[in-house]
Amino acid sequence: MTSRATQSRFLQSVLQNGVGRYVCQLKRISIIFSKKAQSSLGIRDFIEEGVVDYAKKNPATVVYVSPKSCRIPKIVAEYLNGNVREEIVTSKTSQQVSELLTKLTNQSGLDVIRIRKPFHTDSPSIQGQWHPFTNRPPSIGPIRPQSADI
Amino acid sequence: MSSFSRSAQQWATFARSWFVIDARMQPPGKLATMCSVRLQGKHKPIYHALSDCGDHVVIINSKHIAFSGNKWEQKVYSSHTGYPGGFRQVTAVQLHSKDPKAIVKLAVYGMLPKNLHRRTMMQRLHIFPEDELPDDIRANLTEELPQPRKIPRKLSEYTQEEIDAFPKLWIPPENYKMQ
Amino acid sequence: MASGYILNRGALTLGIHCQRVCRSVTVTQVREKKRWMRAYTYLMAKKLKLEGPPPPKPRSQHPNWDYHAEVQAFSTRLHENFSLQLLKTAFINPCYLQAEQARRQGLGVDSELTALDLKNNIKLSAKGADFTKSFLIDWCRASFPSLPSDGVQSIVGHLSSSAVVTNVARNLGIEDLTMSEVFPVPDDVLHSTFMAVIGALLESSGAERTGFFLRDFLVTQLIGKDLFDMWTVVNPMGLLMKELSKRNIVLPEPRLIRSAGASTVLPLYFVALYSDKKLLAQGPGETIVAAEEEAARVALRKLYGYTENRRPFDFSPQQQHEQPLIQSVSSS
Repeated sequence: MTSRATQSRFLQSVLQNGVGRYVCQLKRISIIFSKKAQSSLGIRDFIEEGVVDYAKKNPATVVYVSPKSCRIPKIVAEYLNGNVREEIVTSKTSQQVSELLTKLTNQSGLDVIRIRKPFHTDSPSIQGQWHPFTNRPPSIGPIRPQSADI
Repeated sequence: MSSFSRSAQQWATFARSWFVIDARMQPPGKLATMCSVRLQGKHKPIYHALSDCGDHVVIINSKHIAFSGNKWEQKVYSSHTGYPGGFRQVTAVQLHSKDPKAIVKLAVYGMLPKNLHRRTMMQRLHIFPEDELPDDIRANLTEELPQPRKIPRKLSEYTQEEIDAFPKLWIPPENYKMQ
Repeated sequence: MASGYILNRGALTLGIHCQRVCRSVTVTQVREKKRWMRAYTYLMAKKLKLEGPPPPKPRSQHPNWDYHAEVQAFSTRLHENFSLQLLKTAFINPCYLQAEQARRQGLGVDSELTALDLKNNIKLSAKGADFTKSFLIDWCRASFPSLPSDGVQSIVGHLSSSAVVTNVARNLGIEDLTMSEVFPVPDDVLHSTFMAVIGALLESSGAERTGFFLRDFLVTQLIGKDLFDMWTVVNPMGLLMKELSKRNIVLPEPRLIRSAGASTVLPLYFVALYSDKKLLAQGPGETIVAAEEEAARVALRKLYGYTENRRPFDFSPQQQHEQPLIQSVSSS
C-alpha cells in the first residue's frame, strides 16, 4: 500500500520521557505458552534459563508467566500509554525470545507505523522565522507618490 | 528570536507582498524574468509549488518599454483565430499601438511555468500603461524593485561642462563640413 | 504454497494460518474467515449491534494481575522509594470504599466479621495538592522572577489543571492501579489519586525528592507552550503600560512600520512600540489593532523573560542517585 493510504505519525515521546528522568515504558509482560506442545519449546527453555534474569534486570516491568493449553505461544506487552502489543513466538529459540524481549523493553508504546519525519523540535527557528520584511531596509515613506526616484 | 504567537507568525510568513516596477526604457524580457520569479514565489525561502506563495507585481509605464535592436519591426506575434485562413501575424509596433499592455503581458505569460497555476499568477500581475495607479493598489504596495537596465542619458541631458570635459579624439578644422 | 500444511486447528474458524516454509521458518498469515463461519459471524455482529460494544473492564478484572507486584513495579519504574503501605492507601478512593461497603451489605455479609480495613486517600490527596501548588509557585517564581502573581497563578493553575494532570496520570499507569467505583476512572477521581500519590511520596521520601518528581513530570508539560496560551490577558496594552510605569520607563508609542496589501482581504501590518525613541517590541497582525496587540504581547514576553530564545529549563538529574529496589516476585 502507498504511504498515503497507510497510517503515519510524527516523531514524539510519551510525556516528554527522557527530558526529566527516563521511565521504562513497558508496564507488564505476559508470557502465554503451552506445557507440552512443540511450538513452545523455545519459550519453555527461556523460562527455565532466562526469564528470572530478565525480571531482575528490569524491575520496573511485571512479568506474568501463564502456561495454558494453546496452539500458539504469545508474549503480550502492555505499555504505559495504554497500547498492547502481542508477539507470536511459535518455534522461536530461547535466544530469539530474549532478543525480542529486549526489543519490546526498549520500545515506547507508540504505534509502529511510518514516522513522517525523523526529527522533531519545539523551537524550529533560531534566528527567527522568515517573513516578507526580514532583511528589507526600513521603508522611508509611501512608495510611488508621483515623485519616485528611478 | 522574535517571539510572536503562532497564529501571528504564520500570518506574517505567508502574507503576500505587492511589488512595483517602472518599465520606462526597460527591455520587456528582463522585466518579465523578474516578474515571473516573484509571481511564482521563488524569491521566498518558504517556496513550494503547491503552497500558492506568489506575490503581486504592478508594472507601470508599460507604454514606454524599449526593445533592443530591431525587434520593434522584426519581432512577430502570431495567433490564430480558429477559423480557416485566420492566422494573424502582427509586428511588435502594431501590437503595441493597439494595446500597450500586451507585450509585457505576453512576455510574462511565456516565462511562467506551463501549468494550471499560470492563469492565477497572471491574475496577480497588474500592468498599467502610464504612471497613474488606482488608489487601492497604491495603498497595497510594499516595495519598488530596481530597474534591470541602466538608462543611458541623452545628449540633451548632459551639461555643457561635461560635454567640454569629455576627451575628443580629433578636433575638426574650422571649415570642416560634417555630413 | 501447496507443500505447506495447516498447523492450527482453529485456522479455518479464526483465519490464522501458520505454514511451515522449511524446518525452522513458519509464515503466519491472517486470512478471511471461511464460508461456513458466516452464520455465527452474522449472529455475533447482530448481537454487537443490538447491545453495543461490551463495557470496558478495569485491568484488575482481566487475567494476569498481581496488585502487590504492580505497586512495587510502579514505585521502581519512577525511580522512587515509596513506602508501599502509603502508596496502596493513596490509590484507594472514598467512592470505592462506599461501593464496596454497599456491595457487601447487599450480599448480606456480616459487617463486623468482614469489615473493610482500608483507609481512603483524602488526607494524602489534600497534602499532595497543597505541596504541588506551593512547589509549582516557588518554581515559577524562581524561573521567571519578573512574572506577576497573575501570571504565576495561571501557569500553576494550568499545570495542576484536570486536563494536564489526568494526561500525566494516564501515561504513568496510575489508572490501572486506582481503586474507584466506576471504570473508566473519571477525571476528578484520577486527579485526586495523582495528588494522593504525590502526598504518599512526600511522606515517604521528603520534600526535595517530591520536588524533583513534580519537576520531571509536571513541569515538562510546559515545554513548547507559550505564556499567553495559559494566561488569558484581555488587554495586553493596559498590562504593558502598568508594567512599564512600575519600572519607570516612558510609556510606549505605537507606530506602523510595515504594511502589505492594505486594501486587500489579507493585509499584513507590522506595528512597533517605541518608548523614548527606542524600540521595545514589534509584532505582525491582520489589522492595525491586532498588530498593536501582538506587539504589546511580544513586549510583555520580553519583560517577563518568556521569549523563545530564553535559557531552557534545567532538568538535569539530581546529584544523589537512589539505588532502585530490585525485587522479582514470582506469582502463578
